[in-house]
Amino acid sequence: MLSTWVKGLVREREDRTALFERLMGDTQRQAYNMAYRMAGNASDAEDLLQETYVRAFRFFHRYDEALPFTSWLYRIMTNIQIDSARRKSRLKTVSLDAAGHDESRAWEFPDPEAKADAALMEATLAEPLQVGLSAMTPEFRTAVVLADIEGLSYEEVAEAMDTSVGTVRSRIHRGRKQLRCFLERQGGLAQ
Amino acid sequence: MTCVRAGQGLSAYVDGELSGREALAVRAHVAQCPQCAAERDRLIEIKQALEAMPSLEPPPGLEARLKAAVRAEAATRRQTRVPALAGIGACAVAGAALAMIALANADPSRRPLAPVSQPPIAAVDSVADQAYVIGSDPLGGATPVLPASFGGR
Ligand SMILES: [Zn+2]
Repeated sequence: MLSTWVKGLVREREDRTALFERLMGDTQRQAYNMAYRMAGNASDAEDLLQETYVRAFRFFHRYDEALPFTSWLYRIMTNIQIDSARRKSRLKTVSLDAAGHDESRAWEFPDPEAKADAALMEATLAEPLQVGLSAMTPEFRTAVVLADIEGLSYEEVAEAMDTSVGTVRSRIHRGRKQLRCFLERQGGLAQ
Repeated sequence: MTCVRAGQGLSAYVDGELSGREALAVRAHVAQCPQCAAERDRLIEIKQALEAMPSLEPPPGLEARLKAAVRAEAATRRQTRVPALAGIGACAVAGAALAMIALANADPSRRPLAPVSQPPIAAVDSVADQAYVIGSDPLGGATPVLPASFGGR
């Protein structure tokens, strides 16, 4: 009786794993693009994507199959990405303080230069926009990427970012302005 | 409408995300304000440049690596279940635990009731291994996600 039950459970789990892998196969291309635009380079994009799918698999039982899988996936990816961006900027603040520089005020803003430098190493000259994206405040970047690159409506972005449409509106607007300022400093949109 | 008010709504205006009344007010302002009209054009330029970004080719072998990561995760979860299941046979109150397991298995949406005879918690959690502490957000990275057996119930 126990073994029948265990076998049933194992089979059920294998079915779920197979279903998940099919969904992953269908979405990985689009999701990689999204991860790259958020992370700024290929290696960070792959790490972000892998963490996203592993977390999605862990909580796959919570996925509502009536909704698009990508919406759910983007919500997870957005959370991971914003958390990790915050962690990184906190680490920088800490290391600066530890070094004895009293520059914590300067680091209340994300450090566009440092991040842009890292992204620059990989981004080609044909992609000043990607460098600009990498320099943005994480929440603004996510909102702009979801709306302008993934083509989500404000309501869908709000859902993915677990916030209000009003906040999304403001993040997209401020994000685009941030991006434009960055590009103007770099000499405009190179075509 | 002031430039400040109009300016705040410009991105949403460009995206067609304003209500009809708001959109008309912004449009009327932009029609007679060269600065806001120029700002609108710059926002459109940024938006179009983003939309035109090429779709990136995933690196070779990406799908295989993702599959391997997911299978490793699946294997980790299986391993944590095995000791709990093995413990059932050795346990004197296995009968009670199995009754609960059968109940839980029949309706996965139903949480087993707290048993009177206190069977090993691990056995219960091996069934409800997808139960997590209420209030933790599995989708968010900030709150640590703990298995229910951690004591959150
Ligand atoms: Zn104006």
